[in-house]
Amino acid sequence: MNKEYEFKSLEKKWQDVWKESDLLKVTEDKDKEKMYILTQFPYPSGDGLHMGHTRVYSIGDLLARYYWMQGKNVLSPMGWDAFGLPAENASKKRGVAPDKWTLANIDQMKEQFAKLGLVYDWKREVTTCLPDYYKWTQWLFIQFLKNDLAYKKASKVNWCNTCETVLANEQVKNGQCEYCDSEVEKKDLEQWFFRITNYSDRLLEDLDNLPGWPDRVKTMQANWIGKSTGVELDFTVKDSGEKIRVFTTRADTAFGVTYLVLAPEHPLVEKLSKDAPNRGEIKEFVNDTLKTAEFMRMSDEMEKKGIPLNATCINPLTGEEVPILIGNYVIYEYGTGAVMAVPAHDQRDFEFAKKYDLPIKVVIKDKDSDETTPENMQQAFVEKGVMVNSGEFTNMTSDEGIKKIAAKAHKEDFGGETENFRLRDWLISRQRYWGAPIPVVYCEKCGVVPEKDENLPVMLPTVDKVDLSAKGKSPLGTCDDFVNTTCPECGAKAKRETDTMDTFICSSWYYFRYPTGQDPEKAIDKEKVAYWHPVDKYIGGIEHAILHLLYSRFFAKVLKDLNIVKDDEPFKQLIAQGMVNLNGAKMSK
Amino acid sequence: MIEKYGADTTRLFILFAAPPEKDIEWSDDAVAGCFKFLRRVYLIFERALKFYKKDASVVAFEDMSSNAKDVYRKLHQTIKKATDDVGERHQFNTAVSSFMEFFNMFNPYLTEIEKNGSDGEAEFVISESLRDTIKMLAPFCPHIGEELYSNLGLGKSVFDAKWPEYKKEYCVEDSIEIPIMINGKIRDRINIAPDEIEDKVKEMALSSDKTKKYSEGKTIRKVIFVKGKLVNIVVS
Ligand SMILES: [Zn+2]
Ligand SMILES: [Zn+2]
Repeated sequence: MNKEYEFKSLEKKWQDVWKESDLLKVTEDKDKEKMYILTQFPYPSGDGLHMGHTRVYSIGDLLARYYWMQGKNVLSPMGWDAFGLPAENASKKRGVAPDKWTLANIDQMKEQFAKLGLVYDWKREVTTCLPDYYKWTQWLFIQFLKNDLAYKKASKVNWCNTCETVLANEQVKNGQCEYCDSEVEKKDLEQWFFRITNYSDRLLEDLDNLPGWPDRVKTMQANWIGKSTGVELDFTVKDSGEKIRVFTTRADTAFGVTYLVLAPEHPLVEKLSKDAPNRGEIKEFVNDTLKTAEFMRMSDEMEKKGIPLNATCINPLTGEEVPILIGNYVIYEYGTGAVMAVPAHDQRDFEFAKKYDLPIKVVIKDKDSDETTPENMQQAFVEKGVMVNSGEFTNMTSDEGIKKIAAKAHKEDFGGETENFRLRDWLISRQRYWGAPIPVVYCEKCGVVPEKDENLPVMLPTVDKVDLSAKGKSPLGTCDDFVNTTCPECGAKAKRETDTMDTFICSSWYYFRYPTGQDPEKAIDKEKVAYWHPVDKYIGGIEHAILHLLYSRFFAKVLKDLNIVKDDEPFKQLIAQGMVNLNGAKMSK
Repeated sequence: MIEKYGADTTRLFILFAAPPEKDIEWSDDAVAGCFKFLRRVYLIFERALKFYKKDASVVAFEDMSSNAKDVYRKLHQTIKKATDDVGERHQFNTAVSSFMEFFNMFNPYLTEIEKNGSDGEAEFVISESLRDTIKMLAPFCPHIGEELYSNLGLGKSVFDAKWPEYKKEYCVEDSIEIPIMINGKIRDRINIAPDEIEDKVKEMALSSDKTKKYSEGKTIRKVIFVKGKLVNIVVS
């Protein structure tokens, strides 16, 4: 009689065999062709593996075994993206220590991996929350700092007065605090940033060298970087003489500017509203606007609102005087924080002008039409065309006019051609406990001093030493043993930075750590990385298409410039996989 | 899921349901279908093992009976498809379909052999089929892959084995041989598909080494193609 397919005993048997086998255990073998298969490492949550995980790891394991059978030297490692808010929240809610919670989840998930028949070289395991890894995350931060790629500056953050804490954008719901429902304000706080904008051009241009990436991912990255070439123009505030710089991709419409709009955060707002009769209203408008998250302010659904400032400025091309307003849709962090409004040729400006009864002046016409009367307009004419009512530029085409106006602005020193990026510097400090401490010390004499290499890691104190519900500051600030230290330079009493790093930093370089192995002497082994890199197949969810991949590319470029690695594009091919749905909704288990 | 059907079924479902970039809609029926397929493969192997010979002697493709040829051709087509789908295009779902198609053809062949008895040809075709299909299935469903491979006496792990290779000439559907004539004399023969288009056949005829040899220094006046019969090249 035939045997039956007894999958349970059969699967257990082979899982036990693989535990001891040499399958997918590799070293650098120059005689063999290498194949680096990387699946995005998971966050070790208490929920264990969901079907999305099962999918991504099944694909990774299939490819690893396939190329192994093709005779390739296959590196297929695994690790844990282990810092983050859920562990901290579990600790707050259930009193379980984040490290214990995380490590228990890792054990559980490892077991689930084995039950799915996934095979990894665990000798290369990376766990970002353990000191042997975050030591090197801290070391990398210091390299950034020493090379002027990390800096500190005051930044507007979401602030809840009731909870006395900073909130992430995602924690602000309809302008209210997620925890207590009170109104969220904007507050200036000193924050750490990485200078990713130094790399805007390379991050954009090098997308062309990635034929193995899906086009939609490259498009998303390009849009996120958001390069636009345009012209800057300086408008001069009447009487005071202050310059307001605007950026436009349509300088050909500059003769049609009928007002200027400042972001509520623009430094001139305060000055120009000082003597305004509607000072109180302006203040209220600014406060209301700043409570709204930026991405909301930029969205199409948001109602565009404005309020006049009691001031005008001079159009540098026409010499005409136009009013200045504040608008909720202008973001200070983007461009120059001020925009010129051309209602005849921009739909948003058109609607705004109609709403607030501002003048409309036509300066572009379709080359086949003579229509130039604003009274008949039902909507803005946004196409390029032929310039009219534009002084010496009249009758030029839009493209010609843009060039000529840029040249004139440059020559007469009121602006010129420029490039603008949507990408902002990366805010990396978090007022959280469960993250890698930022390894700097504040000394009264020496200022901001990076911790010495031999003192790394700056150890995260155990959770019983800190107050996680610390109001108004980072939890690490409540641990005196942590805060009080000595200056690495002069030895005087000093204080430690109490913010931790964004966990995206931990995941921006882990793919260099796998080839390095668990080397206690260095973060990255240049030669070993050179053998294995770039990652041949990177498998993961499309939800990481922007931030994680952009940050990783940024890291690779910085590390190449610092001569720590040889390649500046880490991932040769991306396999971005879809979701697993149950009755149309994302499936959890 | 894993508890009910096992890891191999779970993996197979997820790899078979859609290409990687597309969303998958969970379906209990589809999962049960994957389990059924793996069980079927398992039971087919059990039956086929008695005809399996580790060192079955090679039977030339040309000499095979038409049933054996069909199975053997399908095997090579499946290897070609799976190699492209997994290694080049990363479209795992269509590779799984080709495995299913293969077993749909292999099963009646096996039944036939069980009924009428085995011979050297059957031993060769069955042995090759078992060895190569399990190597291909193994990266998808590694447990059953190891288990079934271990019965073939070829080594302790299927992952020590090499991924199978296909021969292009075995993948082509039945071909016919036609003569190439130069000025009415047969100089060469080529294999073409019965429905091969005229231009392609003429091109093949002209690029043959023998044609080149016999037309060297001469001008080709005319190429005549008689469908299914011959190519005649007129030179002077
Ligand atoms: Zn609150
Ligand atoms: Zn000092």
